[in-house]
Amino acid sequence: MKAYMVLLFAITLVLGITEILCGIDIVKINNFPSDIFGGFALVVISATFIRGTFAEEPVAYFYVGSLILLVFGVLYVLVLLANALDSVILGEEFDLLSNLRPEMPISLLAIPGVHSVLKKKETK
Amino acid sequence: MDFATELANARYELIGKIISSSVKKVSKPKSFSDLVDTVVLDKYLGIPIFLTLMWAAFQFSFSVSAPFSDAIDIFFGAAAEWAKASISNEILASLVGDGIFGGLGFVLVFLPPIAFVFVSLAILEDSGYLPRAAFIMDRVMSKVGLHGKSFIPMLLGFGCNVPAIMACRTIENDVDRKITIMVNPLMSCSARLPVYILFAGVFFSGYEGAAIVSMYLLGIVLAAIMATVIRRILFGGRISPFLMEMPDYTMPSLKLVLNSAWIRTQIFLKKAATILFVGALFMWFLTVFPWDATGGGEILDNSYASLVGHIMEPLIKPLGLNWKAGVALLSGFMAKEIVVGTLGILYGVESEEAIQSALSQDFNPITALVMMAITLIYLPCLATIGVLKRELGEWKLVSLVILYELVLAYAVAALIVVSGKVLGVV
Repeated sequence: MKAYMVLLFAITLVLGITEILCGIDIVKINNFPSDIFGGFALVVISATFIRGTFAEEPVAYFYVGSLILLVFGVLYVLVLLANALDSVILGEEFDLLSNLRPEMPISLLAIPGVHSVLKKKETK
Repeated sequence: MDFATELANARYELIGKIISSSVKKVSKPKSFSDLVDTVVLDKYLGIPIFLTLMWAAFQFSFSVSAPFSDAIDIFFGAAAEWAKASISNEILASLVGDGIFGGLGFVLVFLPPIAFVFVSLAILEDSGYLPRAAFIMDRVMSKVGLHGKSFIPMLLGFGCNVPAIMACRTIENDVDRKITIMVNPLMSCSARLPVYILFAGVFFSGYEGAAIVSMYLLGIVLAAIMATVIRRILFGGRISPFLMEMPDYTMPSLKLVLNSAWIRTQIFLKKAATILFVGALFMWFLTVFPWDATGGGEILDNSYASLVGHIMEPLIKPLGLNWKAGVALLSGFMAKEIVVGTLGILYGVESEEAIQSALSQDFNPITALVMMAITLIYLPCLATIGVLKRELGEWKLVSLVILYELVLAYAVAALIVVSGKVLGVV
């Protein structure tokens, strides 16, 4: 589990910092979100995973980090759907690429953690 | 240490003694709630996780609700056009089109974000996270004269002050709740944003972000100052100790979440049907009457709105603002979003580009900052005043909020003007 947490830490940290750097115009990547706050959220998730690897109860950090990651994945899917609906309502063209977020695919990596949460809740 | 804290400490001490003498401890794995609390109440991660979840709630409330707001806007816009085209009597057509449909559209366009804020709040409440959030923020908030539970309503104020003030009901202590309510209108709601964007775009090109963020920070600083002042002068006493039993985490129930959000949203809907609607009709009356003199609202210079603007002018002239700015600010009393639209009407322009060039003739960077700061501070909008009355329960306190905001707005605006002159900006 710790190795998996380190992997999640690395992925979320790199993506988070990149979003922040794009947000403050230091880096420019086509169709990559320029979002300081979104990047901050990813950095917090990464900090949760890495702190868990040194904690007495790493499983707690694995649960919470995975849950927050999944929350953001679902959130951005909802925002994408809302933007698509808004484009239809306003009669504007919907640009799918600019609405895609890296949080969407990487939230799938949270499934093992969220699955553990659900199992833990059931056996409580 | 005050009596309540001492009482709580003594109570927990006694509980500890009874437990240690009567309970035999066996090693047992931590519960799910205990495990989650290890992380969300963590010394270093607690606040960042809280901010992250709040930001997610914001995104959900304002981004996901946008198509519903646009749909309402389009529907009422079309209804207004239809009414104006179908009704032969000009005054009646203007009343139904601009007054009723226009007014209702302006009000109901806020319904989706408000409902979504309540859904977010209900999810956080129902999951059991909200008490933890209040616990995390207690230390920070108590330093500025506010209670730990004040943080969530203050944060919600960045979206809309109406649900934010209603969210103060989660604060049990009456004094803490009233102070939080009274400073909440200083949190820069999203309705003020169009004004910031407009003026920052024209006068702070290249630094728009910094100019807009400075308004948000100004609101936070003023709220902290006013909370301290109100507590010391009006209510006295100390912030009540923050004692809270943490409930177990639960999976939010969709039915409960929607039910809770609906009950809270209904309050806004009732207000929209009463106070806000009447306010919208009043503003319509001011801009189109006297009917013949204004040519049915075409010549605004002859309207009662213009009359009121010219009455206000001597008061705002020392701040570098003209009567048109006065009328725009007055219209913002109904809803802050109207300020930009009113400026468009008064300057006789419709496109954003045209209004920008028109503004640069009457404003400069300092008066633009003045306009932004006044929009932030000067008056709670009509909906906020309605909810202030409902939640504070007495007009005396509502009047006090209005009064301190007006004085504060004038003082801050004057300070900006003086600073501008001292620094030689204008």
